[in-house]
Amino acid sequence: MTTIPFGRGPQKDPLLAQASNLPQEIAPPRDLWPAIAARLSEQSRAASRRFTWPMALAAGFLVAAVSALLTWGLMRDPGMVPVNYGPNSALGAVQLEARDELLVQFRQRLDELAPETREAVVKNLAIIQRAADEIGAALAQDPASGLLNGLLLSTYQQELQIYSTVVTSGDALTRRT
Amino acid sequence: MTELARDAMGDESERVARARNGDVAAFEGLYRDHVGRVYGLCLGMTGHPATAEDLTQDTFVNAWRSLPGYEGRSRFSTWLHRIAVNAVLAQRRAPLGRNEVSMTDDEGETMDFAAEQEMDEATPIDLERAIAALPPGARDIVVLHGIYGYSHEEAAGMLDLAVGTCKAQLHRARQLMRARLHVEQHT
Repeated sequence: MTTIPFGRGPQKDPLLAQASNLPQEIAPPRDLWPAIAARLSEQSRAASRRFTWPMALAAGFLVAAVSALLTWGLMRDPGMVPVNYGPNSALGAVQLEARDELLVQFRQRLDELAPETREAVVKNLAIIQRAADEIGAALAQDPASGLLNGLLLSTYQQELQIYSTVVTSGDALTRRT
Repeated sequence: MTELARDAMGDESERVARARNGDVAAFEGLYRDHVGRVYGLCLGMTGHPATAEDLTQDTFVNAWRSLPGYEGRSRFSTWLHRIAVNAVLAQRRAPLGRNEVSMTDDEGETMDFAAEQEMDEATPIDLERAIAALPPGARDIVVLHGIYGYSHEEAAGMLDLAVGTCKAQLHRARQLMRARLHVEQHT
């Protein structure tokens, strides 16, 4: 069986010994630094335009904080804070104006509700707000999505349904005295 | 950059530290000190001056980008050579590297040889031409191990190969070089 002389150092092989004498440093035919410096400069400009991880993290915290504040406000006084559908919502001014008109009546009725009923309403509105937040975040990535816009519209209709139910409810929902 | 200016920039570790903090002048100093070896490595592995120039540029741009992650555990030159080798391998993985042609040997194995027209007939040393004519895998190990003196383990790490594969490539390279030099001596 023929064995391959693995591990022979360059000094033991005439060819590799010659190879070890070949120059390691070869100057390029032209100065490459100007082209490299231009690329570094372009890279720096691009980096300054990009979101850095700390900035993205800070933005995430900001979004979470705003969302938490909105939810807290809703829990504390749901009549004062309607559901926020975000900047990517396809809901038009007409729909939001209709919601606001109903909201005025809803606020008037809210204080008259029994505590447990009021709590249930608040919880339901908080759930709708969370759903709207999640759909809004997805819409930010895919604003043209028909499915997401449909879901957002459905969420809006549920919010209106809650307002409408409270406004049109009879004495059964009102505060017990 | 003058020698005086280079001296004023301090030693290499200081220049690396300054470059890590975004000092382009310090990085230029590192470029001036290492460009010859990086270009030589790229030229040795590709056999093509124009490609070697591009890869040298890529190496220093990638090094600048990666400097924050350089922890000084290996010599700066070794770290730079790893980046250069990665640049060469990435270029080779691109659809049929520039100036290289693919051939199939008698056993159906694909063998890539440097294009003959790129061989510099004026090169005074036959060995350089024999190395340039090697298939890329064999050429890589001759350049890293034979010319630059990296151990089989270091070369294998740079090329992301098993040590045994590197040794086999070196054996193959020696056979091919001997055959080529023998033919040249008898023509």
